[in-house]
Amino acid sequence: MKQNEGRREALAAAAAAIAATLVFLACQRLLEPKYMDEIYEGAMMREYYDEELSHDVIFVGDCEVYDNISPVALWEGYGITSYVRGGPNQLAWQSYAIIEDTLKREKPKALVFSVLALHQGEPESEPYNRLNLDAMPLGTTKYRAVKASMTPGESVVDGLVPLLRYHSRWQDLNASDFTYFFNPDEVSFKGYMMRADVKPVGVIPRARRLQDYSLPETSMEYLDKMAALCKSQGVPLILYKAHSIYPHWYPEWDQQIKDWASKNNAGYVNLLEVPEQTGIDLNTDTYDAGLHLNVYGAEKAALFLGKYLSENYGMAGHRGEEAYEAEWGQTALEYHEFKALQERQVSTSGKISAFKR
Amino acid sequence: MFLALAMAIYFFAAKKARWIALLVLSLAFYVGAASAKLALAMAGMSLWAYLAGLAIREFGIDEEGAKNLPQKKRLIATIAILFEAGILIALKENAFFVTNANLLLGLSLPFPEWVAPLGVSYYTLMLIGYICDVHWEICQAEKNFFKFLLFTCFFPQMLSGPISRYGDVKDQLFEGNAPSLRQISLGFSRIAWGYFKKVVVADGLALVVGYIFQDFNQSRQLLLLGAFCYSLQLYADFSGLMDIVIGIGSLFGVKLPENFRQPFFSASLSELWQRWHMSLGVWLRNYIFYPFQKSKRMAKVRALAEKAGGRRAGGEASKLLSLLVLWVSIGFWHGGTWKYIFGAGLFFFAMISLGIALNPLSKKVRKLLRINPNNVPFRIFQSLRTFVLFSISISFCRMGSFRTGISYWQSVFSNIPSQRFWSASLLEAISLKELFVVIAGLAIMLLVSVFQLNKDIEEFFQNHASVRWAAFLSLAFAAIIFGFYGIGYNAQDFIYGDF
Repeated sequence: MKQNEGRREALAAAAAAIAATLVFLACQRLLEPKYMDEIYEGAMMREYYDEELSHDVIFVGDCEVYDNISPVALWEGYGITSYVRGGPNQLAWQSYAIIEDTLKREKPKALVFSVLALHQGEPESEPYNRLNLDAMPLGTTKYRAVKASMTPGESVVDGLVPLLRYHSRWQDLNASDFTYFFNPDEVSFKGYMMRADVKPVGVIPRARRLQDYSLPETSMEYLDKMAALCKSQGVPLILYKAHSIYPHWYPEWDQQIKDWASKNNAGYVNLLEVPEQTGIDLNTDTYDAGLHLNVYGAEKAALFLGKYLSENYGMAGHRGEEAYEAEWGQTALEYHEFKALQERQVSTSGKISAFKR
Repeated sequence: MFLALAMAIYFFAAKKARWIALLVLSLAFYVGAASAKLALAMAGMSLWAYLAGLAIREFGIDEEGAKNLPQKKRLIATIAILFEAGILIALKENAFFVTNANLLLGLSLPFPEWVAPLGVSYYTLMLIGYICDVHWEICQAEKNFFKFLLFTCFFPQMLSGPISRYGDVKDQLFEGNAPSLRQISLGFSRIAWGYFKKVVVADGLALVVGYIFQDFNQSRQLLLLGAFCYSLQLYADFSGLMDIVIGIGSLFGVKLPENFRQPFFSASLSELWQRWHMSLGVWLRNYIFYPFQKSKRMAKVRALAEKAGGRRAGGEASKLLSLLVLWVSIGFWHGGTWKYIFGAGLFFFAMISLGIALNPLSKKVRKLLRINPNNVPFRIFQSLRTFVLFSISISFCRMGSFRTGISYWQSVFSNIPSQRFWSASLLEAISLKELFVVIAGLAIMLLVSVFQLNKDIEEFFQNHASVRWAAFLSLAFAAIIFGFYGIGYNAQDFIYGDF
């Protein structure tokens, strides 16, 4: 009798544990923002985990990568496969975590890190932290990144368990949360967010004088860690500065990066220094007056990088390989269709209305 | 995390060593929550009570073996109690004495910057209770100091009670019984219920109360709503905390005393205080009210009153005087400022005394109007009346000072015709959807309270495993999803953690 009762209790406990797990996962999925109606950058980070084929190059960093480099152009020009694991205002320690996470999944032939974020030595914004880290699977890498990124008032648990962070979204649930519960749309082209509109550079804001031009110690420590990690995995680390005129990239910062790259035997490409070679013209190749490149600028940047990678790192690409051709061919087709759509929107209404792929 | 670790350690420890595991965990918890220094202070106070217990037992035996010489025992108990109470008063209530001495005597004494050990208001009462119980031979003195230390600092209860008696919990604490799966699920259900009350109801009401009380220039109805909401917030907050504490206790096989029994169903304030913070009420009744009433001085007062006004007057006088001491003690325990002494003490004394004085008249009125005291509408009327009186009084505890409390009630009774009852800007503090959640939470609490009037909910859950687990999951997820916590909300500490 007692034994039966014990068995019943154990069964009830097991059923409750299963129900708790399912309800937890369902609530978490429902309440997390899907980023399907706006702030598409939030959805972009998750898409990397759906990739089946490996990549030759992984780009990490802030908008200087996800707005400024077109992986499709890199494929079409050189057959090099790449993915942009960039996020808004991605900080050095977040880039480090993303590199660590990438190297657990694949071993690219090169990792390209955008150096602009190195000037930020402190976490700044909780929402940006979430956009960069929420999609990363639970684990020690995520734990360390969340801890390093915390702003005052944030807690590690909120960063690790999305349900605790987004629980109050029950008030803001809309049709999109249910529509995209299982299958959210793809928003990017291999991590690249396309913009085909043009806003030429007007008045260039004057650079503010700084009291101290040293890049923050915390960021540089993470750069050292990136170098050590890449070295331990035998993956070359390349530093990259996009062709954007704001935020200002000071010559003093540039010199520090050059010194660091030469000391650590890392590559460094500053697109601001080679406009003739890239062909980027900020009268036609930017959509917001020089902050970010549009698709024309991003394609030029990608082609320049393709040449640099093949010449300096001997990357031959995957042209002729069936699986790659099939997947990248399809992506390229959709890429050009979407580009044409945006171009039509610009020519008819003067602005873009479709931002999501 | 700590709870999961503590449970694992407790379960994997040998039965005989479980109380040691609990002691180490409790001390670690205390050091983590406070500091090693304050943990030492707490252990010192515990050591004093422990030695007093031994001394009462040992020194009360003379050379011939005749047990318990009363004078010696009383002297030891008195010194020990004065020491413990003295520390509590010096650490927690020094501001009261300094402020009033400066005010009344024109002095400018500085305020001592002493840090009170965490939970001192609760465990000091447990230690004093222990000394009294040993002195009155209600329980045996504990011989093992470390066991006694565990009684003092058992981690679920030490920060906010309930105030337990040594004799009631010692066996459960030291036997090291592992709870069954059923008891564990009951414990988790209780914890989930506590969190639901805290993060959904109390913290939601805190937004409403905070908004209303920040500016007294509002309609009187809204101001009154603030007072009523504060009472409900305090109840949800404190009873929620007790559910969590009792639930955690049961995970370690320890059944801690209940602290609430549907207080807002009380017909009178004195009944309410028998159902609200019951362990404090029981403590004050056992160790202050009865001893005071049975004291020789009180007998003299009774005799004097009897001479002047007859036998009944003697009884009433001694009762009122004892009640005054009781209520001043309750107010003073909540905090050494006039807002607590009045709001949690003297106002209740005044209302209860008035109730006693008017009781014959109210009986006559009931008879005249042919009101059956047991009929439901009349019971509801009595409960509402009690709730309103309780809210008036306890609202002082929410204010910055006694004076602010007075100006709040002046605002309630002054007429501000331009202000409408419903202030749309209240929605800046809490959205309509959130308000609905809070009201739904209160409705669930009411339903559970009604259910508990006739049935023992724990017994019901014991026999219905599926209902128990369903309740646990529903409450846990309701607390997680609808709780007012995290980014965007100002997390609220448990109110009774401050006392």
